Amino acid sequence: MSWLYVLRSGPYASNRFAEAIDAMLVAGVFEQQVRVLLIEDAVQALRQGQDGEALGSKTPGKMLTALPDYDIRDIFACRHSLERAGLDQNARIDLPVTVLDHAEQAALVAASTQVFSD
Amino acid sequence: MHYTIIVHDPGHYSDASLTALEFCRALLRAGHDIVRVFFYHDGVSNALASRVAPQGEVDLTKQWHSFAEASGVELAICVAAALRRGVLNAEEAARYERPAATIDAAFTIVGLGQLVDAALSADRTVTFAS
Repeated sequence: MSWLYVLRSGPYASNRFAEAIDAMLVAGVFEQQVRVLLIEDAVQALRQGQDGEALGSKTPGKMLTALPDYDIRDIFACRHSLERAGLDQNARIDLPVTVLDHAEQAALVAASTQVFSD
Repeated sequence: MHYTIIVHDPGHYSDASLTALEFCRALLRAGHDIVRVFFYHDGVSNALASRVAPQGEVDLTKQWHSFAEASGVELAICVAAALRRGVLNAEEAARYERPAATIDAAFTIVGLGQLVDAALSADRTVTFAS
């Protein structure tokens, strides 16, 4: 049983990103194997040097780096979205992320028992 | 087949909430079972009894209410998402010292665990987002 959470929304555009993280943490409490795939604007959460405080919000990058503490270690990101955002490894926060092309993302979705999107 | 339905659309951004409702009706007509409809993100606004649809537009809160009444399907909204958007039952209104409850009687405020529980009980989980 593996549940895949596909995050697409920009992490600072709305609270969808933060609420989706909450949902996957609860799934983790229920001992589901949780995987996360960041696509489109959601990859911005991987950007180094961000701080949500100016907007009165939590920092999405910190939410992601906390995921391994909740046993969520399978974090994936779309190669095309990362490239478009200029997020090579040097520009990203210190978090192990597996970069996938479109075909690999399709395989990940196909291999998941449940898929949740924001 | 057992279905869990997730609604992220409040009903005034797109037609996703209405589509979800029509999908639910079609499921029951086809003999399927709905474990729970779970409203999350802005979807919790479907439960706002205080909102008023402009003339000529579908009153989705009323439509969901009628659907739940006729079918007995549980309409659940996430407590954290609901509080953030001002959807309160009497208990939460009292707890946070707000002047009134705003939730429609057909909806129930629950925790996110109920979403996980519903997804675990379902053969299919379908999300309707705007």
